[in-house]
Amino acid sequence: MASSSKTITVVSSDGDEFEMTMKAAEQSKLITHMLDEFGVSDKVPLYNVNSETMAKVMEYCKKHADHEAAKEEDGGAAIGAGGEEELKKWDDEFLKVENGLLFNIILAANYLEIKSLLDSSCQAVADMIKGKTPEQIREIFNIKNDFTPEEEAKLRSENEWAFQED
Amino acid sequence: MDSHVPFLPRDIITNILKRLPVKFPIRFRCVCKDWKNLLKTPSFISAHLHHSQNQNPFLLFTRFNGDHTLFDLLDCSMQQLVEVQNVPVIEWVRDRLVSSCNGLLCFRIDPSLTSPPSFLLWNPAASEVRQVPGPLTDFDGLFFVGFGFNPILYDYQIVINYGTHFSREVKRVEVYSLSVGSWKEIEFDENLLEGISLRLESITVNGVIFWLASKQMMKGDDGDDDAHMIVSFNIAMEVFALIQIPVSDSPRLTVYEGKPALLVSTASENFKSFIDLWVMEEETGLSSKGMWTWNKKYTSDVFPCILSPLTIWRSQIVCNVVKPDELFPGTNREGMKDEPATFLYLFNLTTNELKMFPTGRLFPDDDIFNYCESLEPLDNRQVEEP
Repeated sequence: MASSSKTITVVSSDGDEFEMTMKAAEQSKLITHMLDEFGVSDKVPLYNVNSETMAKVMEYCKKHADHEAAKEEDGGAAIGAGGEEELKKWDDEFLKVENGLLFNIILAANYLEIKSLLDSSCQAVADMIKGKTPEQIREIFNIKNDFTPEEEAKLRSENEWAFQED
Repeated sequence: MDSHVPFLPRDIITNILKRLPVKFPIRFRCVCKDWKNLLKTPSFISAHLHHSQNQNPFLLFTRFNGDHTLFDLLDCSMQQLVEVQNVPVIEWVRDRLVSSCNGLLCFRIDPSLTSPPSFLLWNPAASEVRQVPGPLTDFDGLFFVGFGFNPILYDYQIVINYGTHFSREVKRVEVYSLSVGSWKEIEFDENLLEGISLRLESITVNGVIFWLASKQMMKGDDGDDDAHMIVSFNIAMEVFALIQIPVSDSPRLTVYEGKPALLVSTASENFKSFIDLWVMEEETGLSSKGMWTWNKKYTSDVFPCILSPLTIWRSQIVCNVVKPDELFPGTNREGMKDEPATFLYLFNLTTNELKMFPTGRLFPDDDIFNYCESLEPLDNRQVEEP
């Protein structure tokens, strides 16, 4: 009775159902805890995650579960540094989505407690905003500027060097 | 504005911004009031520091351009030497870098040998400087300085041990707290430190300052019969302790994976040597007093050259090497004439490999410090979350 052949069903906020293997589900600490508490027979409601985001998260969990299984099979040795680099490249491509979806992936990874996905996706945003101006940051994060022009000018003058390009 | 992006809560914003070089959290303070408040909280500064220490450690070099002191940062993985900008005026002989702790550099300024030093604190990444006047005293002796973080008062402190000229015994201790802004004398166990001579260099790990020290065992002409040890000072508890060390030669004191460590190079005949790395671990057990034990973490192979260990960078040992051409045939011998070495050597503990790489600049081999960027403020330490 291989546990890897068992699957569970999760339900998104849009009501769509997604199937995932136990190994993929183990990528998420939250799902693992819920399964421990309530058992595997019921569908797991994840009403904080919409279907578009859920599909991406499923893809991530499956990829990382397969990678882990391959590592175990080879006795841990064969994957090596090359395998880890390949996975990192896959993660980078995987996160090349528009900002709305990327932010939702971050929120989902945070809620579902998938640490590696949370780290990668936050790093992707950090890499993207490095070097940007405050105006660009407001655009990206949909933030309203609640400083008066005088207040903002004062903040800028206090650390002018920080606003210069590298 | 992109109205399709969801709102990201504070802890996520922290998780993103903590990964950026200091310049950007400073720049982004003017994005909105929420971000300005968040970026100044101790929890953000701490998260940023922690990430910076683990992901982006640097080596810091000092050099003299004939006028004043300049600073270079080396990221060994990039092998790129970057000159630090916006340097405050730091004189070469009079001013000396004492400690690099959590992104803060502490310099002692000794205008004369008979009065206590004053200090300059500098956060290079945040471009912040603070002058600290020395204590007022007429003590005529030597001053052994340490600098570190007091986790109980959430405050950085400078410690001066006053030692007599001849025996270098500690006679008086004063501490300066950045938030209080003044010196105070503290009581200490004189019996504990009797006959102990401190060295000038110190390291700080987790709120404890460590000095190498020695105790003269026999009155002789040389120091060979001296016992070597470490004197530690717990900044929060204001307590000294003596720690025996497992080596008889004077080692290099450094930090390995967040713990005090000793690097010892042992030379054998024919210009060969090997390095031992000892790490100080806290003994686990029922007693909560925290007993220390030394663990010989590593012994390298014997190399056909004299290895002179300097510090640790990302779990690799940074060394100078004397007589490198036996190990690296064809090394440019120009480096051996009037100019000091322009190469550094990294010893990888996992692969047992000694890698040489050029640093492209001249540097004296003593003044290497570990450094990482941080947002630690030099004044107005915020205690409450807004």
